[in-house]
Amino acid sequence: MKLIFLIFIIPLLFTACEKLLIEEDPLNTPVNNFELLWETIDKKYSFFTYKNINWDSLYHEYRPKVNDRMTKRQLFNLLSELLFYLEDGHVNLESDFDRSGNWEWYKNSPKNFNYSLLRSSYLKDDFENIGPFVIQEIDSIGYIYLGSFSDRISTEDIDIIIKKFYNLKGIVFDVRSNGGGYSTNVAIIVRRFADRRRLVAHNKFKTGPGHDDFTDPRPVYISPSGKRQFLKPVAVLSNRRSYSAANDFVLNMSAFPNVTVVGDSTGGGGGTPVNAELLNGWTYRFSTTMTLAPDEFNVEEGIPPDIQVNMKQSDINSGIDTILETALEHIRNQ
Amino acid sequence: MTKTIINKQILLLAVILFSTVYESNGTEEIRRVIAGGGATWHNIRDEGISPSLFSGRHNSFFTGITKSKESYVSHLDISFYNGQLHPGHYPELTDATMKTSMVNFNYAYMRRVKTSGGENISLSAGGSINNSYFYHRHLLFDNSSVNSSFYTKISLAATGSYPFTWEEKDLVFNFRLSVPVLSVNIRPSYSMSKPIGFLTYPDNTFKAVLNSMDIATVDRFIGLNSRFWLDYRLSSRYGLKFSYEWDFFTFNGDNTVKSGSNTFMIHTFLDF
Repeated sequence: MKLIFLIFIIPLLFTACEKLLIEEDPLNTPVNNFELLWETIDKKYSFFTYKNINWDSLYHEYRPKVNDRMTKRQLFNLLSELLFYLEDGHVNLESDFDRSGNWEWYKNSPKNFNYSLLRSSYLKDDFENIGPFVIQEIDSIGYIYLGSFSDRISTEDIDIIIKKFYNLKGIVFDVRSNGGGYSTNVAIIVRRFADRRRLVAHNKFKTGPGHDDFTDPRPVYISPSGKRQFLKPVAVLSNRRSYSAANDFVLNMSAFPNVTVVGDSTGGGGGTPVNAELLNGWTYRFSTTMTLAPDEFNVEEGIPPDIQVNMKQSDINSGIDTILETALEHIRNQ
Repeated sequence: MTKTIINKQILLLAVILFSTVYESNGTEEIRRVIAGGGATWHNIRDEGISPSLFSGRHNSFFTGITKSKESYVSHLDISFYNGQLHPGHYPELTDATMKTSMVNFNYAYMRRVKTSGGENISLSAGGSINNSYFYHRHLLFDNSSVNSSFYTKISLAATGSYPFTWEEKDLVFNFRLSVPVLSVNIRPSYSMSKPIGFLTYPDNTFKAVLNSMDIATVDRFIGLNSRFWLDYRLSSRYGLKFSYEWDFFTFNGDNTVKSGSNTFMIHTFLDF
């Protein structure tokens, strides 16, 4: 009977051991939160080598400034300052009172987009909204404006647009000042401009804590999809504020021979961001992958256009969008 | 090297399953259908998601079938869990919640190895296969808010049954202890940049699943599962079952996971 009693009681003792097997959380202190953020970024951020960032030296510079008597605001400002060195629009720190980020990648570049001008001179009053797209026919050339990839894009929406513009001479697809969104939306559109299955990009994923621990480049292909594809000349308009998923869109579209990118370099943002959290409930995000062009050019800092052109102030004053006019002219001459 | 260890573990499990000495060759087969529900208190720290320990309650539902003869018991069950977990450090943030769902699929095969005539206690030994699917959605996150993991555990198991009478009621007290010896794990990639590792391959899902698969033995996957249940027979065919289960595992993969859960359930059963 004693043996049986022991057999029954031993598993109960295991149950009681759970608190020993799963340790308590580290203390929620400024020092622990700093260490946690620095270490997580150190192990998982994807662009240290590419951007030549010495993360260890930043630790030695900032760690002495952290102490457990700091206020929340002081800690937030210090961590934001540290993250600023990553020069990455996909890096943010978010608390219940503020959100940090680095937007230097477009601040010193020409704006190259003026929606009011576009509306008054080109879209006028008879443009159409189809899903998130704004469309208009300009001199027998289709014009599509997409301001964000954050809204749901349906295959039906893009099929309607392709059908509508199918017999026109070409299409101008404008993603200027498009800050990105869901990258899954990108392929839905690009497939309607694909002549055949083509290599459009490579992705590299972090595989370990070393700054250069990545998978081999994994190819990304896009194949035609939908009832019809638009294979006549297409001009994609970009500026420095075309970021993240818009950067992916420009990259993927430029793999097709009928596509010309017009305007300014995109803003970049080729790393897929992930979220993490600190012990105090603040969240932060950072890039953990790399996107490369088919020739393995790293697109983190932007994609140069095929035709570089900036909006001229004299044109703006006359109600002319220099970049759009260049694209229309390019299509007319094809 | 790893392959050799795996082969040894599989061989060991097969030996235990099929060559255990049993005493009786009874031919009467009993089938039992069980269904029930209850609650699970869960603690999990998945370092891929958060450094914090998340705790909370799940509602749980269970159904299964047992087939037994005097010489063996085989058992198949599926259980579902759904609930919310909260971090210990900042529970005041209402959004700091992880919505979680789990599905557990379990098969156990036990051979009776000893029956004590005096106390009518029977002991069985064998093995079990357990497949678990975990789904987490972190409400404070956007890009990597959704994560999924699959764990398959092959375990050695021992069961004991002790029938007794209390207040003129026929009761059977049972317990089972399972120790995983081999696990097959599919987890998000190191950087958690995709919910499941295999989603990083858009063109060949099957190849991607194989690439994301991580086979671990007790050096990296340590687990323990103990179940207690009391069968209370209401008639010759019907009865109630009251159960308690404790499950713990830790997996040292790209990101360490530690999980412990305590489940209480009430079931009805039907023998046929």
